[in-house]
Amino acid sequence: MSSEALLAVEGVSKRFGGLVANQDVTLRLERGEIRGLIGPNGAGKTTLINLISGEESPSAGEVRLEGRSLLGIPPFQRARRGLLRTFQVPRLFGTMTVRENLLLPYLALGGRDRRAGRRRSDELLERSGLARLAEEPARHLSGGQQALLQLVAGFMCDGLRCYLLDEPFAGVNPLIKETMIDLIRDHNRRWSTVFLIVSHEMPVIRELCSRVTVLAAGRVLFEGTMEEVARSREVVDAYLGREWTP
Amino acid sequence: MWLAVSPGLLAQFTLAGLMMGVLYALMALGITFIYGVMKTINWAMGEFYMIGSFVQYLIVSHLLGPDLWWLALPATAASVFVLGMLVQRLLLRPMFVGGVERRDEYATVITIALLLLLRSLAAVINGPYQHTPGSHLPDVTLGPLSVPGAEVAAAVVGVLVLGLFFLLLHRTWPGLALRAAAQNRIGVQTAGVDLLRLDMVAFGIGVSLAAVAGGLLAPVYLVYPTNGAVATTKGFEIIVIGGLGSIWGALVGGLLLGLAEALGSALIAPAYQNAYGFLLLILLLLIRPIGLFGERARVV
Repeated sequence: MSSEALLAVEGVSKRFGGLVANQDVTLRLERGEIRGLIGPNGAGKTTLINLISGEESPSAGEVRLEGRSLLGIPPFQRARRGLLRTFQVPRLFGTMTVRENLLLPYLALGGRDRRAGRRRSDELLERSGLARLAEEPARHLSGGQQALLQLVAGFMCDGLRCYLLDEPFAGVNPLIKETMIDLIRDHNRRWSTVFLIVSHEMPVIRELCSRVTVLAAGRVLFEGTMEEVARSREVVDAYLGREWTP
Repeated sequence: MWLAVSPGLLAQFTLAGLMMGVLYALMALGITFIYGVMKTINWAMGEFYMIGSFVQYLIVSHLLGPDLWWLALPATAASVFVLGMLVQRLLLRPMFVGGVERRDEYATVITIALLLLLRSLAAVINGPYQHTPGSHLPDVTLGPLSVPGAEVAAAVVGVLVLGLFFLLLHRTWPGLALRAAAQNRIGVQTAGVDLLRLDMVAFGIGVSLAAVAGGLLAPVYLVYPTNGAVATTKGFEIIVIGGLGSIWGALVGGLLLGLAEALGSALIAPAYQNAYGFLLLILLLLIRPIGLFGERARVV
């Protein structure tokens, strides 16, 4: 392991009153890595994403991006450093057009040339199959298309270093899912962008992610390849209860 | 009694009502715009109208003279914009960074306190006097109706300002960010927008819309420390009619209120001018309690 990972989560804990959502979580993602983050419901996956993106602040521990601590840095500044995220329920701007939804992060994250932004959005809309919907209000899109648009919005950012995806494939039809996987792969290959993907869709995780981190009851239960995870007795127990036998 | 008014006269009153409606709409737009972005209501809106009318009066009477009123207006708008940004930074921003739990209550207390402070300050500094910047604009005859030139000018410039506002909102980058923030405050931060700074700008723009209304109406009505009270009342009447947070609601509601007042005055009796708006409001609440363009909840 190199001296400093692109994204380093160091001993992070988060308590909400008496509830411990994350306990001493440590995670290191190297440049170019696509990491899966899986675990049963209530394992603290979304909380961990919130802690990394800055929506929540940790009770203990810290998060570093390219070696620099993100302690006390608000979400918009993390975004400007290239740390973006998506939400389980897409946070789009419903009455704004699909294209405007893409131009917003482009302009907010340092792109000042509207024409270049338009070209970029044209290209991404074409590749994601949303081109004919470019001038539609985003709220007219189907759930899957909204999830896709949300993902694509992050790709408008030139300086994207690390992209946190919270359940990007939930409720998305297979065709759009394929498009999303292609876009993620392509961006990762071209720019060595790090992805941390929370998902319950094991086939997709297996396809995309070289390594997987398993979270259970707020702690890191296991880390390894998908094959190792599938063989791990404790992971299977955590997911299915102890009665289950293969 | 209904037929006592000729169609021609009715048309004149309609036009006069729409003209006043434009200025009401400016006021309401400021309220609804600030609410739309910050999700808090600025109860001190009328006081920014008052400050706008005073600034306009001071610039016109001490610096430029009544002929250059149109030059004073941008200065009025700009100075109140800066004042608004300062007020937002000092008084309202803490509720977004300090983890205040009940923002609505906080904003209500703060802006009502601000209302009292500004009104009392104006009374202390100005005393009980009433002023007018005066106007050299000739009266305009609309059919049988003679309208003061300043009133026509106010309506025309009001339309221009509304146009500028829409251009800003739909053709510029800050406009895009403001529209986005109005829909999703969390999403806009994730997209990299500095929301705390955007709030300052939104508040500045909102109160400067009120100041523009105050500046434009300074020669029509008088300038005095409590002249914002009427403006506030009308502004909030419109918000209820049009629906809170709706830009179109503010526009249509403003024009409707102007119309209701003008037609009520023409057809029934001018003495109850201020009551017709409330009548319209009560009727509308019976039929559509969320206002013309109101939304029960924002759906993304």
